[in-house]
Amino acid sequence: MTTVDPCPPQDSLLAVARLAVHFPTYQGLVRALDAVELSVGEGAIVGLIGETGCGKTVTAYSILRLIRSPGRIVEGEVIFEGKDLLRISEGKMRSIRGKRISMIFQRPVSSLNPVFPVGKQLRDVIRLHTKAGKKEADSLAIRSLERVVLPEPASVMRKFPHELSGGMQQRVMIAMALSCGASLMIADEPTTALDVSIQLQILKLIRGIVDAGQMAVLLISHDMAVIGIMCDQINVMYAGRIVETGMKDAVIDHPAHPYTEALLQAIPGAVHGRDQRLQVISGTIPSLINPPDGCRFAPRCPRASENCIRIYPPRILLERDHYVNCHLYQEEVETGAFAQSSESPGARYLPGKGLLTLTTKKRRGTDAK
Amino acid sequence: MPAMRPLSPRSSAPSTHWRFGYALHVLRTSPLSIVGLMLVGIVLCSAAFAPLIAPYGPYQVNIQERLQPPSLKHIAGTDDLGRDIFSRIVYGSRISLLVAAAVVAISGTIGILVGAVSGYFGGIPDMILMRITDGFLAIPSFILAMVAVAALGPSLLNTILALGVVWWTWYARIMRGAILKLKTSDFILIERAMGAGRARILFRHIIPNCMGPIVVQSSMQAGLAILTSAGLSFLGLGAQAPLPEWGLMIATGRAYMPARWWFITFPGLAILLLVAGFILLGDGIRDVFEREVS
Repeated sequence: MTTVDPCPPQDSLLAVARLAVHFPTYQGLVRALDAVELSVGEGAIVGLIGETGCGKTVTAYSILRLIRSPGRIVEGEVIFEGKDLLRISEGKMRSIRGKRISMIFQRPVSSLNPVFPVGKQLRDVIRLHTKAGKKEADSLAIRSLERVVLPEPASVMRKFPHELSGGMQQRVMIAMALSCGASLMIADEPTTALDVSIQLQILKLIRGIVDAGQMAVLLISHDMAVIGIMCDQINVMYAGRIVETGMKDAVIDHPAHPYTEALLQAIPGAVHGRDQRLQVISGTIPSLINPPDGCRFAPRCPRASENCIRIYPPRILLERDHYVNCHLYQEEVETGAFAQSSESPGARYLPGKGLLTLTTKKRRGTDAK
Repeated sequence: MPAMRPLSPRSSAPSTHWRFGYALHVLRTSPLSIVGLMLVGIVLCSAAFAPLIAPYGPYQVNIQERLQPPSLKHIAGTDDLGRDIFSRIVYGSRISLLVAAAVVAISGTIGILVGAVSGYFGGIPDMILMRITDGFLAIPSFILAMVAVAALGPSLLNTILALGVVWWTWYARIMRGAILKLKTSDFILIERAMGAGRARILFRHIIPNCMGPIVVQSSMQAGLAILTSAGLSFLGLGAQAPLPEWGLMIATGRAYMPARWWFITFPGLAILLLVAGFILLGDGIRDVFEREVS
């Protein structure tokens, strides 16, 4: 790989580029997303990780164009199966939601309409997107309930949401997401509201569905453990921007961005023993109303330099499919000092045949006030 | 597909049956709502089986026996034309229930639609509709209904129309509030994410979910409709003689007070009990829904 395409590989199912979303508020314009680049390959599980408020959910909603007014997608493209979803009509978009891209949410308990049996809701979604009759839709619904390993699907169909446990409700949601044969499922923290033993079951279920070649998954989580178990590829998000992207092993074994590294160190027992203090990231996420000009992590970054505070770091390709937005690597790339030294500060991972990529868009100059 | 130990459903009882039983169970914990349910039930029965219950016909005149006090022959006495008051009350329950049902149906339909459009679409339609609602609320509804009936001409049908057109405002307010709360809920967002359009979300998901407070309001509204239509009849603006309408019976009996006390007391009691029944029942239903939520 000698040159770097600003857009992710052509064969990907979903490619998000330069996505920017703004929310006008009384305090000023919140730049919830800024130049987000993301791609999901067919049949892959792609993780999106970041702390609360960094824009993970906004990214998911933007892909389906579910951003509520006054929020607005101001720039970018979302290429899905060759079409730019940001440039098709609302009617066409409706036929993509649920049919081609489906979504499951954080709180299964409130994800189902409480006044109807789950079977009716499944059937409605199926009939919305296919020409299936009532009976046909029912049998399709039962089949998708079987695919999510719910026992006695016919009796589950007759139950109201409150008669099911949280784990079962999430299974029903997954069944609904599967029911119309979507090729991409966006899972927004699908296990956060569930207890630990159920979490693993749901994750295994999602993994099984993907392995059976039925769909790709964009998995959003703040839990590095979940992302680490599940994903083929990981995107790390911080304050509305993707700061590091790479295959799972590359990101977990050789985190490049100091934020990723800090996230990994914050997993209890991952890096240190049980008698040691847990490493935490000091400070909080910056306000997105007037985000810092430079790297948004700079104020919390132990290795930040003058440069980091002034200039936003460009997207740098470290290795095949492993990108990072960090000045620490830029110098090395520019000077050609690609020497491998896994212990050097901030460079536990070093690029082999990396190249500076010029893909990051210049920051947009419009200001809130 | 990963092999997993299946989770068994929580209960295997048929769910609708169980829900009804649960509602009864909650109602039972509040004695007043049981009283309400019984009062409404009694009136419903008397309306349904009026010819079996009433010893005389509602229009059966017997001048020889006019203005008789309560006795074994006429348990609520007779009126100025010798008609049996108890029988007229029993037949009159049909009129009261008809008024209640019709007013609730008309005002409920208008109010639900106005509130739904207002709450769901927001913005300019919301502003216009809510200012109209405020206008209606600013004028006492009884006065407004009187004006409407006076304009349309006094009759039972016009009373129903007038009350229906005047009383939708409460439904609109309740509906709008419920929708504002629901609109941002997860399952509505999911519905959108699954590709449902606005109309589908509004009619198939939002409105059915708002029915709880609407049912409560309808029960209260039914009571008030009976009270108000009796009031209008009393003023000569509602049902016209010789209909056995309770308010009208009181209006006629007024001239014979206080000597012929039974003439107005029994129709008055009938109004009191039915109105109280609907309101207590409404309270009870609200309790059921509130428990359901928590």
